[in-house]
Amino acid sequence: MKPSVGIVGGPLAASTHPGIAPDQRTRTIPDLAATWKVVVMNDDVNLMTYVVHVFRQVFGFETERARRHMLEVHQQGRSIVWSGAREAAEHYVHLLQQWHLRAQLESHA
Amino acid sequence: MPEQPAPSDPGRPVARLRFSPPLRELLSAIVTRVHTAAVETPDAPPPPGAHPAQLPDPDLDAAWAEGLREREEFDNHALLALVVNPKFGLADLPLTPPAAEAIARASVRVRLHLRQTLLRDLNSVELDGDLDVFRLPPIEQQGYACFRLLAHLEEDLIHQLDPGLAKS
Repeated sequence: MKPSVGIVGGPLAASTHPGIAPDQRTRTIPDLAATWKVVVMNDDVNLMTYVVHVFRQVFGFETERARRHMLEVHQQGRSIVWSGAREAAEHYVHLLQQWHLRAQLESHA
Repeated sequence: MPEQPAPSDPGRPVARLRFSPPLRELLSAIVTRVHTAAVETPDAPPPPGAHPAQLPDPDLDAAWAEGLREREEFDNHALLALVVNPKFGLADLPLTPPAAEAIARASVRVRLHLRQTLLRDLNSVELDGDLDVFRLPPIEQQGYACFRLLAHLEEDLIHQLDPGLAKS
């Protein structure tokens, strides 16, 4: 997975900090530093039992928590099942897609 | 394919559904068709929702798709090995847990394929079983029978893999 990176230069490069050349300063790309959501969306093929099992396998959820997320997907069309750093979020989305769930990444605005 | 456990292993998942041989042959033909299509068209676009919208990197995009393909190929082989077994549907067939999970995932893949092809005109309620199946054209009846059979297989395997689900 792609690690978080910094940009050389950019707006902070105009800083007046003495002794630091502008092209040696870095800043964090805002969207990579943000919290990312793993969102699972409803579909009419995957079975409820299967979805609960997948949540337990992928996230290690207890059955009740997994079931709550499954019902949220079923009744509201989507559920945020995890949020955090982008790299981990990508990993989870990839695992969920291997199980054929409709999962995607979203960033917190 | 993971090694097959001995039939007497307790607590191991078992493919234990019972159905007639013609249905197994039909299922085998459909699973083979989906598997062949996946192998022959590796660059085919992934199903809707397969990619996160915000992937910014072509290399990551390619690695992402390749990871999904590798998993799908492994899973399809596990399901194919089951459905071509002439004893499937007539006797209990023991599985390793990884094989049972692979079969469950591959069953979903085949059901998604059927949903997008033969069963695309059905609504969600009909897909769940609330329909007069005999009003469908024969080819759709066959697709529907396989769709339902794979759903039963999948659910039975999940309950064996995760017995706690039935208790809560």
